[in-house]
Amino acid sequence: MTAAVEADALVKTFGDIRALDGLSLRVEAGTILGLLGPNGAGKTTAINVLTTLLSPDAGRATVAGHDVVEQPALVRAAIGVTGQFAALDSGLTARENLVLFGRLMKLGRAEARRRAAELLERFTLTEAADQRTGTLSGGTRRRLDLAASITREPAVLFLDEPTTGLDPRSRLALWEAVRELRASGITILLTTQYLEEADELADRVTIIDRGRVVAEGTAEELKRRVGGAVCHIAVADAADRQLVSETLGTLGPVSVLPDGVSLPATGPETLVAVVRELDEARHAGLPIARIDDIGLRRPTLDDVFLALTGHPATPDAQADGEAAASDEAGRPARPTAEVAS
Amino acid sequence: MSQVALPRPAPVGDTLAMAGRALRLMLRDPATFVLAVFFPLILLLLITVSFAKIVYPGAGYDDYVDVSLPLFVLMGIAFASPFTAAATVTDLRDGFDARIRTMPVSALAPLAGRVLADTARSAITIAVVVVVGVPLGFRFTAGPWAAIGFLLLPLVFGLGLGFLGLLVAMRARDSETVVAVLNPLLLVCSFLSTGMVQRSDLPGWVQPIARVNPFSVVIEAMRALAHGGATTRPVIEALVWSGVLIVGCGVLAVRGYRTRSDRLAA
Repeated sequence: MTAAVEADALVKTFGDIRALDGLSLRVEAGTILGLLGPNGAGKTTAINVLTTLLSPDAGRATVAGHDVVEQPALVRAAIGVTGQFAALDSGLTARENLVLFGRLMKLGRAEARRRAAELLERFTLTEAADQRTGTLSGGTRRRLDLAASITREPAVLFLDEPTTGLDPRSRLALWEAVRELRASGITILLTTQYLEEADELADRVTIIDRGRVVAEGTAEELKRRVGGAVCHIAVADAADRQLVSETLGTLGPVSVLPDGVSLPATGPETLVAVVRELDEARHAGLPIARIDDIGLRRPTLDDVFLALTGHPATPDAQADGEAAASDEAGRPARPTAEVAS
Repeated sequence: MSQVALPRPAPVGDTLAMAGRALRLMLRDPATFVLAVFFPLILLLLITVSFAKIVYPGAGYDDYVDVSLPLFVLMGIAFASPFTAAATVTDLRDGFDARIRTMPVSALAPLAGRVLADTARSAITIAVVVVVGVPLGFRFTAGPWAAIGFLLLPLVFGLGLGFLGLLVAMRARDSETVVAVLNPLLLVCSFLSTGMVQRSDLPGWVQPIARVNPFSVVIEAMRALAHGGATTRPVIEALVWSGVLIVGCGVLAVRGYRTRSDRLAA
């Protein structure tokens, strides 16, 4: 396979901050790479270097076969970029934005107009077509932003946290649009701090932390590195977690997590054993822990991140143990500033 | 992988596309339109009619309009320019420029497009003020070539003011600051000039300011082009001022634009 994006030992420093500290990555043509990391990991800086906005201090990178420092014009002709903020003209309508970007991509007046109409249709933006972009909802603007980055079909598309701050429905719609773009043969590099998003969309995942790669592989491979399935007992109260871990100590090595207790599982029989053990403790008249949920689960990328970096991927998981149990939908928009400028 | 041919560089096409966008926004934004069209007209009507008797005792406003009209042309052009500068800052800050920079677009097209749109807006201001000035009594009496010069000179000077605005914009934190810095400066230039009265009628301390004020220089050149008299020297002076603003502020603004957009990417 050929690499559509290849970065080799990129370094970029801002003052004392090493935003990129020898970052290397590779995106095979026609695939989606998820670049995963917490705020400040260097995701946006990596995108800015690969899209020719920033020159690296050291290292080199090629995009669509062109060197980002030596041949920026060729790189720009081959890429599409959707940043963290929908970078559209809020005074123009959706259609006018698309026509403008089409013309700047040298489509010619008539072709730019035809392409705009086609993209509005394809991204289900026809209702918003003649409204000013500033009045559109966040999700609609992001979809329009995505459409604007492919006015001239790019070889490589960069999506910098495409769903940060979106509601669940808009997020699903954007995911669908990204999958369609991949199906049409576009190589995609997407950054995200949502583990679920990388798991959902990416063929391969590169996990970065503090400007360097900490792990690389398919989501499955990464999960396997952390180990097999676990039986997870969700327990809200810390004292109860201790109680449960003592009760289950006979079944294997128990880990106490911020949101519960888990132990390695060989299969459904582990689940049966856990339930039996807890039930026997109850019959024996031992103190009863309040348990919210028991289930078998494959390790998530959250587990992977914790295992690889020693700290959780999501700031709120660090601050508040309950977060890991809460659903993605309720997650609030986070500040998206990557590196202080 | 889909093959992407390198589009031919098209700085002119890029600039026209960006200028078209800026003009469209300008026509949509009532504030800019009011400043560029109604503001100079209101000044022209109110000040010409009410000041005429004071400045030219015994004469009517139809004589005074020959004196006052050039200032209002300049003010219309000048006071709309901070909006362009502010919009340029907004583009830098909200990521619009960054996006353009990831596209195969000529690096200076965003600035050049703004300046071009500005010039088109200045042309509208000049046309509107002159068209309303004629029924008030404004006349061209120095021949057609001089009249054409009268119409073009504020366009050139407006280009210089546009670059001055952009230069301020590149140093300003946000778009509000741009307007706050430029407006007082433009007010001083407008009123401490020979735009409404003869220099000898200004207070003593204002006279040296009015002498070197580029607004006075351009206004006197415009009067000469409209009504005759010694034309060469004032026109050359006005062109020198315009050239200094265009080249000086232009170079600094372009440089500031480059560093600023680099810094914002970091």
